[in-house]
Amino acid sequence: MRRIGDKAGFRLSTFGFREGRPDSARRGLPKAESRLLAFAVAFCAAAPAPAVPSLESDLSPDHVSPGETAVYTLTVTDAEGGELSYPPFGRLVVRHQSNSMQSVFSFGGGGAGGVRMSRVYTWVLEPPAPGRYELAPATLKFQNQVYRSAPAVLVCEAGAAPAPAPPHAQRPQARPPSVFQDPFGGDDDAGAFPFGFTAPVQPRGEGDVFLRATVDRTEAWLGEQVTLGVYLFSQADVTGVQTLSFPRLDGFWAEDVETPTQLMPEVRTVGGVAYRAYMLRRRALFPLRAGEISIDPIEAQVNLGLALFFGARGETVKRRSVPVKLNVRPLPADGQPPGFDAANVGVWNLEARAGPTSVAAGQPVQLRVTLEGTGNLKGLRLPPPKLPEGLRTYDPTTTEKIRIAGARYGGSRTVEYVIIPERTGRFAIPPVELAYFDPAQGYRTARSQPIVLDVSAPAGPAGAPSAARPDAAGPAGTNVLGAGPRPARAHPSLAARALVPAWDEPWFRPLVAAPPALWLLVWAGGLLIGAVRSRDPVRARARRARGVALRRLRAASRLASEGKAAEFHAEVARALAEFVTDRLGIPATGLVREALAARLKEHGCDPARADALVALLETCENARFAPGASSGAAMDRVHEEARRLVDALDDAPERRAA
Amino acid sequence: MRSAAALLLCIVAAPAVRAEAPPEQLLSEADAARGAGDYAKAALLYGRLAGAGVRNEDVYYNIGTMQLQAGRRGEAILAFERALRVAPGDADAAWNLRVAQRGNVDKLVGAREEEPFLERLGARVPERSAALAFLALWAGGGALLVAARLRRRSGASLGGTGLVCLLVSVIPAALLYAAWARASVEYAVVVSPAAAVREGPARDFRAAFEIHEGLKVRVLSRDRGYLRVHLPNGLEGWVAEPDAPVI
Repeated sequence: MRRIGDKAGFRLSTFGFREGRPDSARRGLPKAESRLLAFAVAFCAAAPAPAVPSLESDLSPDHVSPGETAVYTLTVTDAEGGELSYPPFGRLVVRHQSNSMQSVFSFGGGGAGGVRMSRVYTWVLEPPAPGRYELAPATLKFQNQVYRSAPAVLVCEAGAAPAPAPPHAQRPQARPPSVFQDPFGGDDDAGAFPFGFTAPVQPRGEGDVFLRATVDRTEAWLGEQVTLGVYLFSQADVTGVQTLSFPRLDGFWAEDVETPTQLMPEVRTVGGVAYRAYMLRRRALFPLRAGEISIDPIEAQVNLGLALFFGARGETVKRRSVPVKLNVRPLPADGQPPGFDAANVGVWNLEARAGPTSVAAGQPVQLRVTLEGTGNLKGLRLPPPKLPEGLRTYDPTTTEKIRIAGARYGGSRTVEYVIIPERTGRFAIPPVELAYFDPAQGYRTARSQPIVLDVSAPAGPAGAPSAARPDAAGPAGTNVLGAGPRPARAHPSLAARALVPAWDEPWFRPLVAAPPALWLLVWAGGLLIGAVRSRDPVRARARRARGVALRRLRAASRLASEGKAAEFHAEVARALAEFVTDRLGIPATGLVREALAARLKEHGCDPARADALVALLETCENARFAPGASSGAAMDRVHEEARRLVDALDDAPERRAA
Repeated sequence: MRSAAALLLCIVAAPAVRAEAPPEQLLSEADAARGAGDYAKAALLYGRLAGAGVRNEDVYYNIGTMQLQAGRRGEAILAFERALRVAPGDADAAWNLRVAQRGNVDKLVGAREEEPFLERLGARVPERSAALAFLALWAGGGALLVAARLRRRSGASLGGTGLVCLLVSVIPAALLYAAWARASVEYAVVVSPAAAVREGPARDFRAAFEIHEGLKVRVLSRDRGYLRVHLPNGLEGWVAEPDAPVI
């Protein structure tokens, strides 16, 4: 089937070297340049070649050893829509089958040439036992014609094939991590696997596109990193990977270590066939249990495209890797520190720093513990520092930085503690220790440096509130007195305190209501008495007599201030006379002075007051007719005396009703 | 047969109906437990003392201090609040209350002042003294007014004095009103480590949020063993009464 130089022409395949270009040609011209050249030549061609359908078969190799496979290929050219019948494979085991489209531009020697479309069907066949296996011709029905391919014979016998590559199982089980530094170092042999990995058992020549999952070691310690790589091998152009589905990875703690953002092919040869190999993902797996653990197949959907020059369509294929088995060994019991945590596997360094190291009691100190190295950082358990008594700490804050170097997962974890010294003195914080298992060297212990804190007495007045506890007594005998709860009372009172508020006491509301009630009572009584008295006009006039007299005296006072002495004295005399008449029922105006005095005394008035009244009335009478003799002071005296007499006589018994 | 059954019932029930020990004995047992460092038992005995009717600031203060020592902050805060309710000027109770409240974990976003001004004023008023001052001024002023009414000639001065007394009585009356306003508002303290605040007064209602030990909440109403509580930042809901006893 190799058509190099066949019929005085040659082929260019969009799949690169799929059609068997010699290696020298492949390596001599870069792919892009080859396509440019083909494009230029194609435009120089004068006329297209006539489409001639063809069916060709190929079996390679035709002699294999037991356990090996052969590739049977049918190529149908320019027969789109034809009906192909491939031969029965009988007892041969079909390990893989695939098909692909090819666009081939051919040039004839006389200028005839053109684009030819071929579909290639591939089967990977494995004889179940030594023997001779005959493959009948395949048939193609196209446009009422039948095309037949040549029959083929596969012979399986020991030592029949060229010496194969060493079996994968005989390769070193695990390689040191340094192989990742040069994954493509050295030329590749048949069956050899790139990237420095041990390849799983994988049928050779399984097709033009296949997926491989590999691990950098098949035996590992519990918790030791195993790097899983997923690679896509293809002889066709890969334009993208739609999906990459991982199994559940039970029994592992998994972290991504490399996820390429674009496909970067590397040319590798597998089973004598050149492939483009794409690294799709690398993950660090940390086994969580001992024993044999299987990594289930990984699936990928791959887009295969064709060169734009030839305008053919692409296709999407789904590929699965074969399962990978790991043997996980438990951590050795010999030399295991007591209380060792099985998650602490890797290579680790510890560092602890504190600042400030000289503080006053109650002031915070920051202690920073940093763990750095390679291994499962997220699963690692770092013990807290053992602080001496007198140092109090709060919940720490933790930060992690992941670092991946050469596909080794690791990084640093920083734990920050705030420490409050509760007393003065010198405190030695012992080293923080982490026991871990180094897969290369066994059990190890990472230690930080010890730290010494000098704590002095706080500044300020004694007894000032601080964060320190009052019961903390330092070795130097210095107490840091601060704010704590006060003690219980030694002799609490047994007297029940009145819990009833004052407003709920029985005496409160009556006392509040009493004053207004009493006032209302008095007011109402006054009204009642007034109403009763108002029925007797004489007595009513007697009760109003004082008020009337006082009003007249105020009017007289105004007259005095105006200098009207005669009118003043007349008004005073009228006020006194009316008062005596209304209040006491004695007609003052119709009696002589002596008779008036006698009647007043009869009525029960104080004789002195009666005489004084008569005398004042006489003074007023005299002044009315000799007003010029009355000075302002004299009028004031008269007014004052009249006022005094009204108040005094008001206490005399009232007149009785006639 | 019936009398024998009654006798048996009396024998069986006798311990259950045993009278509470006298206060002096409870106090001495509580002091002994406190001295032995058994703070939980001491708090229980002081609580029984209060249950026996000895309710004063000393007993509540000791209950709070013992609960604080025993690590039950919610119960301690409740007891200190009760001590301050009885004796608002108790400095020790106020101090220990602040110490206990330092451990509160609930940070109320958007909380206003803890209590309105009137209630804070009322908390500081010696309500009985204010009541006596008010009554003296009120009754005295009223009596003077009555006397002024009865005595017409010297009534003006008496009436003036009485009015002044009545005007001055407004001051203790206002203080008394503040104390009343304070006393008429109920508060509760969360004593459970965490209490669900539900949307209704039953366990079936959805828990809207959670409050924690030591938080003081205002009680708006009660219904079927649940308290409708109001938080200083406006949140409201229903909490089971055993989780947040009323002060």
